Amino acid sequence: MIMEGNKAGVVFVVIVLLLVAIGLTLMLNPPTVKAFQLPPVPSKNVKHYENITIYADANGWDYGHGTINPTLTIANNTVVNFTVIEEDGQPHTLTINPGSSESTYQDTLLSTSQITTIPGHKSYVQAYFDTIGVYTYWCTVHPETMVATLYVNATVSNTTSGVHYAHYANQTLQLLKNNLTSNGVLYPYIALASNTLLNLTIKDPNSSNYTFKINSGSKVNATTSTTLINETNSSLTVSVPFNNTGQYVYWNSNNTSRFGTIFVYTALVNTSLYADVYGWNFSKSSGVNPTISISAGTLVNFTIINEDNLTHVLEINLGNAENSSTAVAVASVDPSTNLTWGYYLFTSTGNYTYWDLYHPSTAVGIINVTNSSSSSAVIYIPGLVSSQSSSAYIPGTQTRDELYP
Amino acid sequence: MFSFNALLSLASIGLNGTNLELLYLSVLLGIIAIILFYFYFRLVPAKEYLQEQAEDAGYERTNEYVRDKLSDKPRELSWKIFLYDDSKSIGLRYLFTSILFLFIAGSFGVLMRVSLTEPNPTIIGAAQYNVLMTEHATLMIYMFALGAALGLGFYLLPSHLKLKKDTMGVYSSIAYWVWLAGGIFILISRAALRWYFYPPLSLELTQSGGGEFAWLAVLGLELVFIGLMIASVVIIKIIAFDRSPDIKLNQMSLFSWSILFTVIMAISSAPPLMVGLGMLFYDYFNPIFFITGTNTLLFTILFWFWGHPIVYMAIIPFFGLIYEIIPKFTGTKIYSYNSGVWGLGLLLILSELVWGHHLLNSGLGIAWITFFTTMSFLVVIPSAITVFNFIGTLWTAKSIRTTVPMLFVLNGIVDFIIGGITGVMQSFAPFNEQVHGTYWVTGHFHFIFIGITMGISFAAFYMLFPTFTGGRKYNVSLARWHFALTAGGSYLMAFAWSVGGFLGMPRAVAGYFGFFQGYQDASIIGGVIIGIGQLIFLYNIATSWLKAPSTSSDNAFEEENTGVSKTPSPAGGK
Amino acid sequence: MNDKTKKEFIWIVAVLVVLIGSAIGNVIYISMHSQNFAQNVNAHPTYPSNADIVHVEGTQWSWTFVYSNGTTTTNVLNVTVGKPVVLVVTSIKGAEQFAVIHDLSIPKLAIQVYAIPGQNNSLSFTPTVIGSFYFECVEYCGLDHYEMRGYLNVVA
Repeated sequence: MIMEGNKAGVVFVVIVLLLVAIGLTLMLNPPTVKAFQLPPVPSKNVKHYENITIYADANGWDYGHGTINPTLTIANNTVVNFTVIEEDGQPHTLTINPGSSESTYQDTLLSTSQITTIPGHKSYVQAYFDTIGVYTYWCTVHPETMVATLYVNATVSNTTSGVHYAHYANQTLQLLKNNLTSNGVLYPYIALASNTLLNLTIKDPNSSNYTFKINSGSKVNATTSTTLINETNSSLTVSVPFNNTGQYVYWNSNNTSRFGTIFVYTALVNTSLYADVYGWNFSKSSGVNPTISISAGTLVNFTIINEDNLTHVLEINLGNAENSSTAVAVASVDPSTNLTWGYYLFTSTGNYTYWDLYHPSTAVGIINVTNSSSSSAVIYIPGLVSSQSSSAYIPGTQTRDELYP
Repeated sequence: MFSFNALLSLASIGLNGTNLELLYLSVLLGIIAIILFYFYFRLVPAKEYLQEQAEDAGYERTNEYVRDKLSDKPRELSWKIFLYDDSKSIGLRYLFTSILFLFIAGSFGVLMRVSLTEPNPTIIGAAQYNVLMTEHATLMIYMFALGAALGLGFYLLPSHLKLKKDTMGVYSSIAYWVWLAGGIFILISRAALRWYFYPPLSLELTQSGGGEFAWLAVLGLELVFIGLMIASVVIIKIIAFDRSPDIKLNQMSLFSWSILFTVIMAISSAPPLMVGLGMLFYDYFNPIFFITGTNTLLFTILFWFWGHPIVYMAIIPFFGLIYEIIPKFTGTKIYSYNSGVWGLGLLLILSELVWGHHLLNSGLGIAWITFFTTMSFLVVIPSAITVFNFIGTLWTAKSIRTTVPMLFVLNGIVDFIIGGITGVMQSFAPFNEQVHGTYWVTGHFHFIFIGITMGISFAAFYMLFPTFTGGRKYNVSLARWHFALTAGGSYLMAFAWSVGGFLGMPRAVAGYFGFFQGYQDASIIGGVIIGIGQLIFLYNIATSWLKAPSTSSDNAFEEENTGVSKTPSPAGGK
Repeated sequence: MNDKTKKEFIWIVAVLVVLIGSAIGNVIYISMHSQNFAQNVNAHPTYPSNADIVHVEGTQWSWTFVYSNGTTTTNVLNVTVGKPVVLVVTSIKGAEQFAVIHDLSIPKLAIQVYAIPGQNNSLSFTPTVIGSFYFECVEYCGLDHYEMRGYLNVVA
């Protein structure tokens, strides 16, 4: 048998060179996720100090000392002096990670060698929290039993435990810089019941630097704002507790002219208004320009339906009369759009005026905001959310940009 | 690349506590196992059918039927060696895989060298440097040195022992795949913990610690060990039970002896570290074993109980090969067969007793220092016997034909003498205290590893090249260039390291004090020269293989392969 | 005994003489200078009574030296010429997850001692030359291992 030239050697050399290239590429791109680490205790600007003593027991933190696995709540910018007391002679760690469950993205404050197995031994550690959110503190030896939650709130809480959040809203925010593609709603309204912990996942497709800021009120205000995320990562999650009724705006420091609104309400009401040149609900049996009664803290979702194919803009201001200087445009319809939504949060008691920017003489009515819960409007009951408002994210809402081109 | 990292992260979420992910992982593994079982049961009827065919054709053994009727003869070396379970094919698998890993890990080494052009990390970062350092060492030792030793063992033993049959080819095959999987795990783990795997550093699953997927390297190393154990048992069984009755134990070739000693060393020293790695892996879930105090030192002890024998395992088979190659090119017998066997055997015993000299400065006590430094002097005795045996053979030779394999052998002996002397100097406790952890040590073992492990592997490869390519000859002048660059580069590199290390230049660092610049620059030049030499090797085998097999009766190691036979033969004519 | 065996015997004896001689010299040196080698303090090694005791803490990635008068230096070790020094070396947890193994090496003085978490290793030496000598961590300890280095200053 005559054998000719064989490419086996060439094939082998190509494989060698290919795998060398792959190997070098792999080695030069080692996994770069750094471990989570609580920030070092700063020398100044510490706003609060908190002493927390917990008992380490394999059956659960503080087992046999009141509430097992107590939920801890502290204010932001607090230095916590942890004292861990060994109870059962077993090895334990004090490990903290962000998020509402254990993860490997963790910081072990006290290791098994520091919390010795001598019952009664006290170990101390200082930890500083400068990021609002929900954390999990646990023991890596007993992750099933010894696990509990730690909240870092924006404001001082006068109690160190017992705050319960009625809702956990999971949100994915698409944050985009500059001029935007049509993909998804930009700066959506977020409507939350009060005492809600908002778990925001920020996705920035451009992976660019941004600073996610938030401030109370209806306008961007850099001086009163709080920075929630200041990162370059392409995906980040932050947990923000919203306790009190009010209006917040969230924005990106790269573009302060664009922002989204977060409403924190105690009740949510859906109302339909039929826009007509002769007055709101002119053709309806309930009467023209009806008086709406609601309680303070109610977020009203106005649905505007165009009746006459003209342009109408729903304006709302505090007071018994139209006041174009304080009025806010909630929603607008025009000959091409027959139906839109808009939100308004009624925070203070008293009378509000709702009116049509183009037909102020005919289409004008009163909204009566009272403190009592006996108003005729449907009171939103936490936990029993109507289908439209069950999601805090309102799909299809107009963006702030479209309202103010 | 990123999705790859994400996949690994998915696998790593089971660590550190949450058991639900572990459950998912085990379900996933279960599904994979079921799929594999399905394929296995698909194979069973095919195998039965083949058996019937063999019986119809009058064969008692299916393997012989396949060999005679279905295989091409002579068989060109092809990727099919990965399917055949005979000892030769498995040897070739190991050999070519180890060469592959030699190039992968070698490229890491060259890049590491080049990155040290400046005292502070400039070309690559410290993190990348640490990964390269870890992977270079781990892959070179476990994938190249062990692979080449096992490969040459599997390839040559059947001939050396006139093997009638090897009934455990399937196990050898499994051992190969497990070993390869371990190597791939180590490679993709991109761990940064040196080949020591010292906890607690290896328990820090961060880039600034042991690397985010350091646990994968621990798993990979365990797999390498499992593969090594299976292969070792098979080799012992081949040598002890399968060899031809004509070959008495005291007539067995020195290479067979060296392989036997190597696998005995593997079996006797690996299990403690296998247990240690298991404990280390448990520590990822529940850190209790190796966190503090003497427990931390316990792992270093378990490691070096294996870690020192492995460096001898990486040279003993190649001593055996030197004993085989020298007679081929000198025309004399080995000076003393008995002292050859006894030298290697004593090396086996004494090298198991010196591991503590890696921990002389770790506070294990004066008695520890005294014992292990003394043993380190004694382990030189069998090494010296072996070297004198080489020298005696060369001395009594009528002529020495400096073919390329012989050049590698001569260079290897010189390298081993230099590396041996720089090594025994470290046995002096005060000198050890000065140079431990410096480039002196790196120079010492690179002399030996490049000269013996790598050089003799190339020598064996060049000698076997005509055999496993079906009669093709390599280009001798290119091969000489390969030799010259490898040897010259390694001398320059290792000497620069030794001198710098003597002055206190620390090893395993991504940056260094500026006054060591000269030594680093010299070793960079040496390292790059070695790298260029290996490219010549690759070019040589690719082009030589492209030519037609030689049919001339000229010596394959001293004549150029022109592809045209000088003396026309009936087979190769026209 | 034929010629071949005789030659073998000669070289084996020669090797044995050289190596056993070296080994004995080594053992004698160790027994006379045991305080220069790293030992666990739990083994109660004896040191000169007038020695300065310096506690050395290796952490990822710096060396901290705590002197008997309470002062602390980082990556700089100051000692007095002619006065014995006892180094008590350990490893402590820094910003990373665990304390890890380090190895303090002062090559010009042939001083080397591991820093082991949870264990105190000690050795003593007497600086005899005024000057500045570099020291390094020579046990790989993570990302910035190479920056774990500094100078020993011997002053009059």
